[in-house]
Amino acid sequence: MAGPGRSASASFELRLGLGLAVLGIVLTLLAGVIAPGDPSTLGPVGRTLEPPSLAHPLGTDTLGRDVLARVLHGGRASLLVGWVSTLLATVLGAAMGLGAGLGPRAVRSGLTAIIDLFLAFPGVYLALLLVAVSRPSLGLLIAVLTVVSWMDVARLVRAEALALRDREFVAAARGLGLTSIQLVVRHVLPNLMPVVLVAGALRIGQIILVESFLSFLGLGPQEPLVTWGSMIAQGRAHLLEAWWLTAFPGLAIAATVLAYNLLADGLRARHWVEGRGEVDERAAA
Amino acid sequence: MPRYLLTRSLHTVALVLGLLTVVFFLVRIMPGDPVELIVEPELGGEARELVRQRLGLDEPLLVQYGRWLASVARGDLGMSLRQQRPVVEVIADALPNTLLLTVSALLVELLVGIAVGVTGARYPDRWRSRSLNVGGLVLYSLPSFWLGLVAILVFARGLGWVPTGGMQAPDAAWLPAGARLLDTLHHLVLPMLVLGLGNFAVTARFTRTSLARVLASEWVLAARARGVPERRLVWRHGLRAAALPVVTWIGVNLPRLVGGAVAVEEVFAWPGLGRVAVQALLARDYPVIIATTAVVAVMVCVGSLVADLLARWADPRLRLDGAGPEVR
Repeated sequence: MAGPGRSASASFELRLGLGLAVLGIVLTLLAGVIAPGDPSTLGPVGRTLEPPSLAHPLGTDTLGRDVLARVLHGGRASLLVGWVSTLLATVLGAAMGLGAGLGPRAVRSGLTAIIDLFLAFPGVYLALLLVAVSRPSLGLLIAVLTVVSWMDVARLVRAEALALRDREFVAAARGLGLTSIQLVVRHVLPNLMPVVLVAGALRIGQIILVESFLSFLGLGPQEPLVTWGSMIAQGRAHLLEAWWLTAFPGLAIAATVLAYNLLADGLRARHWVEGRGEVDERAAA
Repeated sequence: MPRYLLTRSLHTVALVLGLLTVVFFLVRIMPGDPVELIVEPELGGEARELVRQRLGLDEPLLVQYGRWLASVARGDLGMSLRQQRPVVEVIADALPNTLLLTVSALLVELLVGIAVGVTGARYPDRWRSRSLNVGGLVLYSLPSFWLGLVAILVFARGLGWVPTGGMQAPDAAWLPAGARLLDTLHHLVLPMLVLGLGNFAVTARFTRTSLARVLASEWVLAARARGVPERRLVWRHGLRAAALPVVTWIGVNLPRLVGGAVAVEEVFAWPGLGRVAVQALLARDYPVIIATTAVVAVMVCVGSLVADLLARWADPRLRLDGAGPEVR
């Protein structure tokens, strides 16, 4: 797909983002190998709140547990929630967007109203509201984050579908006798892929941010599951004497979210350079 | 313009009504019984039934919905279970503080974002604009509650430049008015910067893309040929023509900003709506949670109405065809 005019910095962003994202997934999958031992195993008495050392590269927490092991295991929850919610939100959003862009008139305006409605919600408040009325768990978190984040994709897909509807090749395809479903599968969806990919990469980062905040408040998955947000919440009480408790999980979140944001930026630049006659961001980037 | 204002306002009212409906029904279809959250489990089924009756939760859902809407219309949002006072009072205390924080953070975001965006559009290849972009993206990727903690550690605990949290010094009530204002501003600086700087990257990108396109257009070339100074060209003519996507973006971005404020308020103990919502949540203070969500959603709707009107002011082309700017 390498276009001739692809700018060097866009491709650099893409590679860096991709590299960081893959690194994050590999590190969390290999958590048990890199930091042997269970993240919940208590350390010996008197070895609590140790600063980073050779034995514990990222130090130990209030119960003497290895922070490195906890950071790596904590990544599993964040990445799982981020990926699964994003996939679900993308499917849901794409379906709503297609319906709102290409459906019969009544369906179009109905779905558009629903999309507008959910767009007006500040996601964090909606998530807090939904979490408030149920017991915190991993599954609930995924469901809630899906409900609060499908609208972006829906909005993009709707706009793109509306734009595509008037394109000549779509009219030609209709003229050749394609049914609506064939049209969507063969022509509309492939054209939507770049937009959906960019939105999806951004979405993973955003979801991980919201998830970590909910976990920070104690509304995420509960012990013995570790999350970055809950680690920061524990560290908050020892901010002065044990900075490593707060610093490392925060940096882990930052690196992960940055990876997906870079990925999105790189994809966006690449897709616009591919020449669809849209905003050429390369001119500015 | 008046006609547009009317239809757009009606649209906002419909949206608000829809939002209230969604809040109500979402809460009711989620698993979990509100009564169980209120009544201690030891008290048994009888007490639960009593509470259910008193709250009107035993009636059909649609009746409850109608009753709730009617009381909201009267300005009655119920009683806070934890604070034992009307929810309206709780919100009236917190709302101005949240507005102060979000509006000032929005100003920071716009000032920094537009400045960075203009630099990026004028000098796309300088290392300075590149590093500003990367810096913005890094800040955008940081969880704001964590950034807040780090900022407190460094600037409040370490350097002692600003207070660690809250909105007023303990003795603020005894200070003269001017000193009290200064005291509040002193408390505002750090949360404002954390919230505003975390978000400027996207504003910068919209400004940069839009302005670069305008600066490459023929009328700018013509103006340049006529000898309009570059500075004036960029700041007076270019920015105004480039403002539309930026202003539209502000409207779209409002939910994110308001959501980010929750985390910042929580970390900085800023007595705003977000903190009220979080505390209500941890205490299972049901009416307050519903009310804060609804109020914030309404705030966002009104905010995007204002952004739309601003967009029409900024770009006269929009006033011609009678249609509002599509926010997409």
